[in-house]
Amino acid sequence: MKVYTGGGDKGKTSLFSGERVAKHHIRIEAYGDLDELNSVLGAVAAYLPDSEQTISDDLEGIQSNLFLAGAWLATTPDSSATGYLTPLPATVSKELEGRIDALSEALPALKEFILPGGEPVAAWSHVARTVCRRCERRLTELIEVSEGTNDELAAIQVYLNRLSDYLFVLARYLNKVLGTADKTWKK
Amino acid sequence: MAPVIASYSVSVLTRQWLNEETYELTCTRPPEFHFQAGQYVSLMHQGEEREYTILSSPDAETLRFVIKQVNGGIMSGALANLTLGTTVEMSRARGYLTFRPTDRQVYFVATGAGIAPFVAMAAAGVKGFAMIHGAKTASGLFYRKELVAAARQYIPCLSGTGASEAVMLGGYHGHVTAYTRANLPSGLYDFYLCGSRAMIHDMTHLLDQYYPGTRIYSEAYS
Repeated sequence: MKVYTGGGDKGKTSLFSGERVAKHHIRIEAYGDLDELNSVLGAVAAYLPDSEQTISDDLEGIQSNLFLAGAWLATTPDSSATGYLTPLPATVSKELEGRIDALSEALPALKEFILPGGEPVAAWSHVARTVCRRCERRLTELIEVSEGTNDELAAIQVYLNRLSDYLFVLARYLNKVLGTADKTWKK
Repeated sequence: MAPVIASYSVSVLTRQWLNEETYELTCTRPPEFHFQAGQYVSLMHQGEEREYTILSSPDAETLRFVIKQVNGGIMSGALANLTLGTTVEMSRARGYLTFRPTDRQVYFVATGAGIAPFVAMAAAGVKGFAMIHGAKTASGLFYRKELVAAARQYIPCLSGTGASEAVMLGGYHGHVTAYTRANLPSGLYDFYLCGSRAMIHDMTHLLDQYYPGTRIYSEAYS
């Protein structure tokens, strides 16, 4: 199969459900941002110390889940094409909560705002967190102004919310294990 | 959840030439192998790997593929000369050019070996579609009989022959794009495109320009 056909050279592309839309359509923006998030997670994974195998496994699972989510975002909710999509496993958000709790145990309680940054891998995790928040904003906009929602989009919304929290805790955790203190916001 | 099987071993059962450069290969079907009509697999042999769409219906006992022998093509050449009974490796089924039920009029458009997913869909019981089938000459209109039986309309479009041959076949003299523009009234359709990159490119732009709102599902072959 060929990667390119040039069918999008005039600024349109096909959704998974077949509709032709402008490349700046809200649905394309939404799954484009998810693609960006997935790429930034790849950068986090690339900078991860070899000793953090569990986190490496976390990130690989999250990247796969984002592919599933992207397919749902690329599909009009009431179309027959949804029948071909794989739902996110029902437990993904709960699993993230478990991982957030596990990473948080190693961290001191947060009493002040921290500045995003520190070790490169932690800084990338903060970038991922902010892109994840943008994904969330796009999704809520998509649901509000576009063609409605379904159970799966609602589940993805929860997952993105939890993932942002995970990435925040992950950034702090990585700075801690790599010996770099988070800088606090000095008013 | 059952583990995903990465690859299967299949034996080549038969090879039938459809014209001077295209042949059909029939292989055994592993009992645990599942697919949807319109999906493709990778066939792997001696370190080479190429993707081919399955012609068979999902409940068929064997797996059929239509393969164009490309000039200098290592895999298509190897499969063309493989001793029957030889085992090759096959990936799990992939791809999304599968039929989606709709209230709209459905058009399938294919050139060359791009006919494969539509043969599979027809074998799987999809009916009521119009098939616009492009080829240079009549010898390239593979699986015409099967498609005529399932389609509400079958339109052969011959671009490399005289007008009289096309007319004799009850078809159109010219490319699939020209047929579409000349014959299809404005409206909302579901189009499925499979074949050469040039055809997909031209059809996509034609549909975007003259049939806005039409859904397009496509997969490009070489």
